[in-house]
Amino acid sequence: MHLHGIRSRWTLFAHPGEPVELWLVEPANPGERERTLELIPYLKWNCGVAPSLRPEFTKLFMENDFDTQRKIAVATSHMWEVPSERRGPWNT
Amino acid sequence: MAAFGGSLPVAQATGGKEVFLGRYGDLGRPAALRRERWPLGFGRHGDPIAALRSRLVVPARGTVTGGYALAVGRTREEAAARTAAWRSPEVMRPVLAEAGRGWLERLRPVQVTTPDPSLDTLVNLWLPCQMISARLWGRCGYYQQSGAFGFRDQLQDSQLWLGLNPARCRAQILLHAAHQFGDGAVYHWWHPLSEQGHVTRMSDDLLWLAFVAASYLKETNDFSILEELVPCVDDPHPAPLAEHVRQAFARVRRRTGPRGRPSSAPATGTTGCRRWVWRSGANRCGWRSFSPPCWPTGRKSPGAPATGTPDGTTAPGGRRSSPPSTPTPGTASGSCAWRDDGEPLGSHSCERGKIYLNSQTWAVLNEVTSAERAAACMAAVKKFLVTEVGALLLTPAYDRPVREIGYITRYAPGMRENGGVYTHAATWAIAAAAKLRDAELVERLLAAINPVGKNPERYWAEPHLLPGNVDGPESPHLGRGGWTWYTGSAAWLYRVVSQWVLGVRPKWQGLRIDPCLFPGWRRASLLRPWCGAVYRVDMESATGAGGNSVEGLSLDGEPVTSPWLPVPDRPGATHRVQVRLG
Repeated sequence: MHLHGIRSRWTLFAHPGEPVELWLVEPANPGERERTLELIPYLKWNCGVAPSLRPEFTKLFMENDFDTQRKIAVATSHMWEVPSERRGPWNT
Repeated sequence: MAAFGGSLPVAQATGGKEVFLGRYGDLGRPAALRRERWPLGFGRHGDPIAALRSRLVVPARGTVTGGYALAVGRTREEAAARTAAWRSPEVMRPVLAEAGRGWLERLRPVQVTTPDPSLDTLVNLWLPCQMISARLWGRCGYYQQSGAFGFRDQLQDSQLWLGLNPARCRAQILLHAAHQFGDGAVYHWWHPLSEQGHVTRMSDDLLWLAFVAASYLKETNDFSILEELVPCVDDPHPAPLAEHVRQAFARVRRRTGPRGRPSSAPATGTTGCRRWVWRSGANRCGWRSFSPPCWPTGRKSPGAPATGTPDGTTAPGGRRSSPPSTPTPGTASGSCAWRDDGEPLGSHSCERGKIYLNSQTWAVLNEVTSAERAAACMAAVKKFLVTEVGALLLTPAYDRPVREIGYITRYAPGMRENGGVYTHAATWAIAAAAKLRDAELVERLLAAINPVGKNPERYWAEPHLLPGNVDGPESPHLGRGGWTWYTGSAAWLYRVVSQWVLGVRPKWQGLRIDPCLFPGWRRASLLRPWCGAVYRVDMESATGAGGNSVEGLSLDGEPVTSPWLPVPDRPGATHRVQVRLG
């Protein structure tokens, strides 16, 4: 993408062996002057069946936090949408 | 637990959507970009997001690289540790290279070389990539997200593995056999984690077990799979796969319509909707009397006794004894079926839906009709169904919902199964044209659905993926592609190119070499494994006339007079096959 004099490339892929999605974000400055940018990745947590059919409901069970030491955002959901023998239906 | 982190220094972070977007804000103008300080917004009372703020200086003519990792783990610590381990670009780049190499390695066993580079790219890379990532592994796409296994869907799809890694197809067959019930019924789909599924009476679901098992046997000669013991959903005592196949046929044979043919059984689903063979889309038909003129499984499979039917058409798993003689009210080709209320379907007497593509092409592919009628079937296809954007599934499109026919009539005219190009069936039309050696039609049909080089203003869809459907002439968006990624038609096109255009088909008798090259092609080649050996098949046409039959065939330099190559006696060997076309 070429916007405001910055060419940016976003490569998104899955690790072949680990449950992790990887992003390479590469803003390039083709101009002759130094540029100062803010880079802000944004995502909305789902932590359940995708796509969420009832996000206004499922968000009531979610919890997120920030690991200030490692600068890592974490999230989980305390509800499940797929019933199982072990856990029963979601409102068990 | 899930975790997200990056390699660049994080100045601030927030976990609240309202903090980031602001009241009445959206992603186009998030409030957070205008705020110096971000409230944290984490906890249990908001709408959780993750946003990480980093400041970076990009020098003139320079680039800065940021790495981000989104990981899951059983615990918070496991997820966070995994994120921390993989978020650096230096760690990531070798993984990206490995992922790319993995795809090339995975797809290397089957390679085609033709005069059409777009076709080569599709078959050698994009079609199998689409199938493996979206259909077999992810089992989701833009138009459908589920993660479930469809009994017929992923079983059909797994045939893609036959040339690349047959063990994966074997595993898929056994997995699906384990989702059959003792009476031969199967789940229409089931979720692998919860093992919850949907039981139907659809007549095509259960028969795909036999079809794909037969494909596996012809491809590998590994008959040991038939003895593999597999339990049923409702019976923990395992039975050989051959017994599972027998049960499927037995269940179908227990259901015959008043015309004496196996009834194409509908099912009662969660919506109360009775469904017929969905590929034809007439899901309301078949409860009492829908007897399709032919079936997708026209071969005899081991373990399935031959069963004739009153008019000589093929019962699933049985052998046809003679061409059908039952007069049908018919279209130009005479192929027709009946609705539950006795009205004809796919007849010239119908106001809409006068002709259906599958009735024509299945009759040809399964050899359930005479040569004259087969030619008439395809002539009717050319006259009524072939368009510049592909072969339509039916025409004219239904202009209003018809309860007695089913859900396809609820699509807008010209869309998907209602008078659009349904690519699944359109690939079978290519095979039928190749079977009748109509090379011009093969080229025309294939070029029409080849996504490469389409005008994006009209086509809309990705240029490297096969769409599930393309709008037909009764849509205001003629030629608009849709339902990309999650469509099994990509595997069928893959198979049709290698087995019908290049014509290298595993058969019970051996490896059939029967190409139907495009007009103007003077040579083509195919690299593929078969029964544990590797075959490089080079074909040359002296005239380039297209569709000419084989005049000379040699295996490792020795002339072969049979149209089939014998099963190799040395697994692992590489064989060279040369084909001279007239």
